[in-house]
Amino acid sequence: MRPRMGHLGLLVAGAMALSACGNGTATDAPATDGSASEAPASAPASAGDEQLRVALILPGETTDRGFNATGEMAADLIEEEYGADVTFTESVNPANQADVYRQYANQGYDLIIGWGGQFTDGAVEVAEEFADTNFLVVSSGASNGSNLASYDTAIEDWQFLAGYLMARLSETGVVGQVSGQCFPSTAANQNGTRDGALYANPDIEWLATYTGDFEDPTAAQQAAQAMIDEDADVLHTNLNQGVFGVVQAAQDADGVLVVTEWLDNSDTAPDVIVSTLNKSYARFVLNKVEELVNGEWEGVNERFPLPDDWGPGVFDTDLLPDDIYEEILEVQEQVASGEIEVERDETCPGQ
Amino acid sequence: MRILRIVQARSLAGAVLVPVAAVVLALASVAVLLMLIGADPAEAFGSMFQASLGDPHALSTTVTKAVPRLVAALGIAVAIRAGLWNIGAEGQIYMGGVAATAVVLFAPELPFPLIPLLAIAAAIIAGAAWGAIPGALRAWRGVNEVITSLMLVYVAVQISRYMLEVPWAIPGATFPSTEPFGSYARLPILVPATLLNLGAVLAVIAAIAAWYLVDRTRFGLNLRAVGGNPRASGFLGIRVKWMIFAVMAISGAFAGLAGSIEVLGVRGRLIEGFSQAYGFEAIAVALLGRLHPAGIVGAALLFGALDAGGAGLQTAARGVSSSIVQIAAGLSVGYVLVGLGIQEKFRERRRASEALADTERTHGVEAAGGSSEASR
Repeated sequence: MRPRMGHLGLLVAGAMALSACGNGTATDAPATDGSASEAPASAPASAGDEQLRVALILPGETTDRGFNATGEMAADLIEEEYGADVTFTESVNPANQADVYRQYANQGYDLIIGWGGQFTDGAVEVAEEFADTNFLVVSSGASNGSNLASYDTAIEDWQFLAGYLMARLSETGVVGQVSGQCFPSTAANQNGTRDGALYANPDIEWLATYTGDFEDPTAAQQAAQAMIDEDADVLHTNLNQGVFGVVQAAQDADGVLVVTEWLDNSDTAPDVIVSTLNKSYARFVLNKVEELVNGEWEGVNERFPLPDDWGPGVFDTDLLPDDIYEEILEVQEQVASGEIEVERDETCPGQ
Repeated sequence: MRILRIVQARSLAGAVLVPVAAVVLALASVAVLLMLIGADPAEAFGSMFQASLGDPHALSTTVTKAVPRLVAALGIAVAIRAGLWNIGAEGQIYMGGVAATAVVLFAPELPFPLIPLLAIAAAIIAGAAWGAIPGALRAWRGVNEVITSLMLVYVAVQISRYMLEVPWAIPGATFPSTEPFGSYARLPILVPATLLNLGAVLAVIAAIAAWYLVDRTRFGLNLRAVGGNPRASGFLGIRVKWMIFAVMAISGAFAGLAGSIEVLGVRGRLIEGFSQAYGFEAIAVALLGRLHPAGIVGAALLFGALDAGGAGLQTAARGVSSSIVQIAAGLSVGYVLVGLGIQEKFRERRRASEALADTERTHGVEAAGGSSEASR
């Protein structure tokens, strides 16, 4: 497992370095600020007592080539950019989140990052107990005005591209998405995909399921199978380990394609993974660390729209027809420029 | 029951020696594992120690983690001493948690001890009921309680999940749980700035109650008789079927109490997955504690420390999975069972050689009379 991760890490770090450079401000700001206490970018981890200590809480394993792998990317980026001491805990059960937050806070970490909206409650609880520790939750809306901040992406911007792609690829006119838990940002995710699919083809039949567990491949496979039984031929996911179940269901069926998310992982199933939605929270996490280092931290919630320098929003593969790929990039430009306005819909089923 | 003969300690030295040796061996094995994956064992154990025993907060984490395993293990030990395997403590914990939550959510706000008392009572009843089902099936239908109690775990977990996702669901919540309970409904924190809550005291009371029940009452005597030999107990006039039913209910009651302590004391709300397999680990705790409440307290503290330390381990070496700590816990139990097996073999051999010596003496030195008794 390790060597492969190393290889992936390199690839990913390269990609991130590129996008970080494109962003510009994040890396340049400390130098222009000129304050003595700041470590220059990529300084060795030798700042002594002043060294920034950061901990991440991940819902799954960093070998998932998806959401958790982007968490490790964020850890690497923070380590490289700020010479920080960065650690993380994998596979934290959300029911235990308060324990893990507390443990890190008690060990004197400066910043504890919950990697995923499911880690909101524990941060809210423990941020009250440890006023000197900063908490950041990604894909969440929580904040307390002091030591708890969160950020989210306008995920519907990205998801719109996935939905558009699915509708363009579908021959049966039926597409679907298998998600894990439903909370505001994951609802915005799934509903964003739906809106993209309907934009591409107003007659498309849209199927959606929340299995209740990002990490359960069996439940995800059953949900995907149910969609395939209803003639769906392109599937999308918002899952961690669960994605393997959806890929399995597609492989067992005939002519079913999967659009995955986060990192290009099409080599894990080149016969069915037609593309991957290129997302990551890692780039944005640096903005928040930057604030902390500069003493400008604010306990607020921010939401980042799709940047116009993001790079291709979907990864190209041999399965993906060139004309559709080009079409997606055009749509992406329109979304990033605001020409297409994607609405955010945080409605979970049954509400 | 052979397991009873093997697991129950006969002397204090034996009771302590085998588990301690097993734990040392388990940690040594983990050190080797850590070296194999390229981590520094000294650093890793250091951070485990810091996170479990290093300061008052860490210590309170260990105790808090020990409590649910301890209380559930007491019930499991009671059942094993009656010759019954209650594998379903996890489900009984969940039923206890759900029952306690129902009381908090539906009862009006009353002055402090009332709501927790009512909630704990409801949890004990719910746990007992969930344990009584396999008990009744075993007593009157001869169905193996191992299977039925285990299967009921999944039913209980799903009942809890249903309650959280449908009737008690909070719209827009990021994880299925109820709102935090008001302080009037919670078990209070005993030492400020730690996690130590009244549940720890309840656990100690439960341990004393379990000891008294089994070792000091007529009911306990009958219970142990049933565990030793159910057929003979029947001839002695013990109502064995009722005994089986009652013991499984009592076993479940302990687990139900554990569930209410976790919900009212530690988490202050019902949350999906609030019991992290505590009920299953409690089986190991009961065995490691040699089925004696005092031993169970020690074993539960060890598991609590391993749990608390596991989170600390990951901070020492990035990428070291906390599952390595579960390996330590598993190995401890494994080594204990191996140690007990070896001890039993030695005992058998000693008994055999003593029997041989006795025979030789009685045959060879008839004149000495009953001196063989004294030589033992």
